[in-house]
Formats: sequence, C-alpha cells, structure tokens
Amino acid sequence: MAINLRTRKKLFPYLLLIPTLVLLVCIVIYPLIFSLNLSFYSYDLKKFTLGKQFVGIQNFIDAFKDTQFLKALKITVLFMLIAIPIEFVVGLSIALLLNKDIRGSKTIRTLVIIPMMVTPIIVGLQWRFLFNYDMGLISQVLRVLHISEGFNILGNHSYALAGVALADIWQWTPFVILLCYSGLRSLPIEPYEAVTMDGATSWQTFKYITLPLLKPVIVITILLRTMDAFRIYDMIYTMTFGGPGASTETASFYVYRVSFKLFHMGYGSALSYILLIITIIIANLFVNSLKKVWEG
Amino acid sequence: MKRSLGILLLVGLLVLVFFNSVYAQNKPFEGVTLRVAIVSTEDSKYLATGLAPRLEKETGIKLIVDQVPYDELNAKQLMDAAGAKTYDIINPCTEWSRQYMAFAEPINPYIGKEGFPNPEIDDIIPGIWKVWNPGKDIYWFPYQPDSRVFYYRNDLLQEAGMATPQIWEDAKVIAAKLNKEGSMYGFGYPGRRGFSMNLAWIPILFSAGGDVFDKDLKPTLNSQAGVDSLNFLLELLKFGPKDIASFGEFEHYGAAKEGRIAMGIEASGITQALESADSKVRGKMGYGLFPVKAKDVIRPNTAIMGGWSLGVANYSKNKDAAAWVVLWLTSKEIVTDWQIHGRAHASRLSMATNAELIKVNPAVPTIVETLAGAKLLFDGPETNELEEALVVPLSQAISGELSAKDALDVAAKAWADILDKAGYYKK
Repeated sequence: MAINLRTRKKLFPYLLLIPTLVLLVCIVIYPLIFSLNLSFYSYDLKKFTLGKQFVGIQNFIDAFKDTQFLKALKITVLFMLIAIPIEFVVGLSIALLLNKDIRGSKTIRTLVIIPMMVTPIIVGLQWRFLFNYDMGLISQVLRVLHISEGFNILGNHSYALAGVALADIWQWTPFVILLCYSGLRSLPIEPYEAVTMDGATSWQTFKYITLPLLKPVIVITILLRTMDAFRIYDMIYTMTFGGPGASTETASFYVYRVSFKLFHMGYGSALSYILLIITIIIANLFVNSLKKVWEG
Repeated sequence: MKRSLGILLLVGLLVLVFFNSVYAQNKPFEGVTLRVAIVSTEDSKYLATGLAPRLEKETGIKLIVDQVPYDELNAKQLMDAAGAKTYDIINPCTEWSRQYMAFAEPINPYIGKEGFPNPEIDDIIPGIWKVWNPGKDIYWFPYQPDSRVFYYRNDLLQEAGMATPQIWEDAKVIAAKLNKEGSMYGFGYPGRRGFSMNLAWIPILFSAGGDVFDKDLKPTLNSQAGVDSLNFLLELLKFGPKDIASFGEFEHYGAAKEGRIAMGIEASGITQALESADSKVRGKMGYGLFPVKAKDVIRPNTAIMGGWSLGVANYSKNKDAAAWVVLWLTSKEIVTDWQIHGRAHASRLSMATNAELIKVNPAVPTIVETLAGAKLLFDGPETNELEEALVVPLSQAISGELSAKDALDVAAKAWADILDKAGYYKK
C-alpha cells in the first residue's frame, strides 16, 4: 500500500520524534512508572528471593510517622533557608556590580562561572579538605593569623550544616549571578533615563525600577535554586555522610540510606515520590507567583 | 614418494590432534569469559593487573574485574542478582555473606574434583573458615579476612620509657603524655559517621567485658560495660583530633602515616598503610589487642570479624569455570601471592607465618590473633540495619550531642525493634 506524498509529509515530523520518545520512555518514563509501582509494595532487596508484597499506601502512611524522615525534611528546609538567601543576595550584588561594566568585568564573568562547572562530588571533597582541622587551608590561615588553633565546622553537630551550605553557596552563587546579570542586561533603558532626569538616588533607582523589572528573573532564579537545594545529596555524601549524628542528613540523603543501605526499595520509592510531590508543590507556588508578577 | 608424503601428512595430522586434545584437557575452560564484582582495594588492583592476566595466560579464561567502591558494592551485587545477573563470581564481606547465600552456588561438588585446584581447607585459619561457612554447604572462600587492631608508636613509648598499655589506665596515661597540641594526637579513632566508627568501638566494649547481645539475643549495648566503654572512648578522644566527628578512615590513615598519632584503633587495613614504603612510621609501630578495662576483665571476644571472600553466583552460565577460578584464586599459592601484593592480610595458617608476607606487613601475626577471637556482629541478613541503627546515636555521642548512656539506650532499643520486627524473638 503506497503512502502518498501528503501523508508522508505529515508523518515525517513524528518519525523524527521517535528516537527522542524512545529515549524518554526508557530513561525517564519507565523508571518513574516502575518506582511508582514499587512504592506500593514492601520490597527488601536483601531478601529479594522472597519477592515483593503489595501493601497499598502503607509506605506513604509510614513516611509521615517516620521521625527520621521528618527530621531530614526539617534539616533540608533549614539548609535551604541558610543557603538560598545568601546565594541570592551575594549573586544579585555581584551581578549589579558586573552590570556597571567595571574594569575587568569580562574576565570576572568568565572566572565566576568556574565553580558551576565542577561536579558537586568534587566540590564536596574540596571543601572537606579545606575544612580539615589539621591540614585544611582555612585552619592554616587562622593559625598563621593567630586567630585560632584551627577551624572545626564539619565535626561540630551545631555548625556542620552551615559548612555544607557554605560549599553550596560557593558553587551555586555564580548561577544566580549569571541569571541576574542576563536579566539586568535585558532591562529597558528608558525608565532609567527618566528617573535620572527626576534626580533619583541609586538606592531609589534600584528599589523602584531595577527590582520590580527584575522580578520575573528573580522568581525563576529562586525557583531553580530551591528545587535544586531540596535535592542536595552529593555534597552531603562526600562532606559529612549525614553526620555528625544526623545533623546534616537531608531528605534526599535519607532516601539514599533507606534505599541503598537498608535496601527497603518499596519504602525508598514512596519517600522519593513524596519528595517529588513536595518539589512540584514548591514549583507551582513559584509559577503562580510568577504569573502574578506578569499580570501585575 | 607420493605415498611417503601422504603418510607423513597423516602422522603430522595425528600428532596435531593428539597435542590439541592434551592442550584442551589442560585448558578445559579456554575461551570462557567470566565477570567478577570486587571491592576496590589494593587486592582488586592486583587481581586486575597481575592475577587476571596470569589466569588468562595459564587457562585461557578471561576474567573481567569490576572494581567497585565499598559503599556501592552491596547495592550493585544485590541489584545484579535481582535483575541483570551478569556476575559469575560474587564478593561478599562477612556481614553480607548470609544474605548472599540466597543466590550463591554451593562449591562442595568442585572440592576434590579432578582438574580443579585443591583448596587445602585444613590450611585456612579455622575461626575464619567457620564464620564464612558455618553449615554443610560451602559457599565462600576467604581471601582477605580483616578486623580492628590497636596500634601504637613503639619508638615514642621507648623514648618516654613507657611500656605497652595493658589496661585502660595505661592507655589513658600514654595518650595524655604523648599528646602534643598541634603536632601529635595521643589517640586516633575513625569518628566520622559510618560503619568504621561502629566497628572500632566494639573492641573497646569487649575490653570492658561487655558484649553486643545476651544469650537471648537481646541487645546489651547499653549495659554498664557498654556505657563505661563509650565513656572511656570519649575520654581518650580528649587527646584525639579536634574534629573527631568528621575524622574518617581517610583522615586517620593519613595522620597516622604522617606520624601524627601516638596510638589508636582502626581497621586492620591501616597496618599495610603504616608499613608502606611512603609511611613515616614504617618499622616504628607496635600492634596488639585493645587494652582491657582492668587486669581481671575477660573479654568475650577480641573484635568483629570482617573481610572478603569469593563465591559463585547461582545464575552464572559458567558455574564450572567460575568455581575453578574461585578455587584457583584462593588456593594456597595464589592467595599468598595475592596478599603479598595486595592488602597483606592472612587467610591461611601457612600465610600467618609466611616470612615474605610478614616482611610486607609485620602486623600479620596480630591480625591473625585478633581474628582468632573475633566474631560476626550478627549472624543474619539484618546486620546492615543493625549497623545503621548504631551509626547515628554513636556519632551523636562522639560529637557531644548525646551522653554515652542516652546514645546506647537509643541504639539498643532500635536493635531490639529491628530483631523483633524480623521475628527473632518469636522463635
């Protein structure tokens, strides 16, 4: 049966889509469906020969009674509250500075994105060495300056999370700089000309012109950083392994521990889905606020 | 002429066929490819670079060696067994060995079979053999048993005119005396959250006469001996690294090798590092059991037994060849060579006194002595869960977040809950 030219033309775009669709189904959709299915089972990989037992939504109910998971969620939120505001304030400030076209800004722009190019595992290791009490650079500097005998942050249960946040700030502030800087570059020039004529101060210009115009970029930046910080795992793995105690055990790290240390695959899948739902809710809140900004 | 040539050709052909059949008998697994997952250590490096090529040359078996970091190996092997089934030879450590029996092939039929390497089981250190293979079925052949060892700087003790510590008080005095702010720690310990932290505390618990379970399998971590031992560890750690809660095996090995730790307790793997060519303390070390609480205290065990073995996956398509390779790798000659070039531990009685091995690692006799009195943390698939349940409270005690008593109460309750849920108390 011959296919006429018109039908062929219609089918051609779909044919081009097939490789991408196949790839998506294999590496995204199938694992998602598989883990969703698994989340309704009790499945212990250590005893995989016993098979899996259907438990309905019991894993999800158990998650909300799991004090370790709830504590891990609290630690994740605390981590986000430490890291994201600092990343935003520092990132925006540097972006404003770069926007002034100061001398060497091109070089600074290039240098500033280097941390983003390093994988989080390496960043974690690098900061673990920097924070090392005996040999770490920070301790050495403090000793040379006679400020302190050393710097113990990752071994202190009260401050270890701040240590991990510091590494995250170092790596991801450039991302905020990049987004804010490109946002600033795309702002219209007319409002600035008008307020200059009216004699507005720098602060007034920033508060009444730059900030409102930059709002969509700010919302997107914070949304992306929030979603990413919520999933933090790699740096925790290399820097603290969740310790001391459970002081840096974030939700993602706890899911890793349940799934790949205790091998409770069903429960681990349920926890992953809870994290996914929380991420979607956060994203929706930001998208709604973005809509309001656009409509406003 | 033509006839003679024909006869000559025929004879030549017959000779070729004969030698080919002899050759085939010598190399029955020629052309077989096997895959092994193995924990990434000095052992795996030598397996990949030294033994696998030798195996291929001698037998024609190609061994693909997947060297996997410890933290990922268990998940990788379990997922492979449940799914892809690609590994022919599997590599459990002691705590995984019971659960791995579910997908391991008994090696009994191959022991003494013609053409298969002689495992000389009588030469394997009896305590180690019994822990790995407690039943009639033989699944595992150990190649690198390990444990925790107490190490100390012999040279510093001699300089200070002090004897090797025998009891806790001795150890405390030595730690205090040799501790020098900024240059020398009196005591070293892997205090970073992890299984190493757990396993290094347990010999101290034993040294107080305590144990992990009573005869009814009820956890006794929070017994008086348990609390005393943890409090003693915390006292020693006053002379230890200031960042002890983030001071892991990596930091411990490095600091001890650099000569910045006077004594400590660590995985027996540290001995090889301390005696390596680039160690500043090579030849200056002493090794032994952790000092007891008091002279009249009898420790129930020396430490928790760890280490690695090889077995055959029951889903392997080449079980015969895999069994042959397991027996070959763990045979007397090969395993001795392997350990001399690897992690320098002894799995056999003949290795425990092997001069060449002891030259590489003088701690071998101590490791063997420790292993002789060591035991499994728990004889069941719940070991990992028990370890995880101890990790957090113990780390909280070490970082000062919880008292020793509170931390051990939490851990003991968690252990009891795990075993109760698994049905051990119903039995």
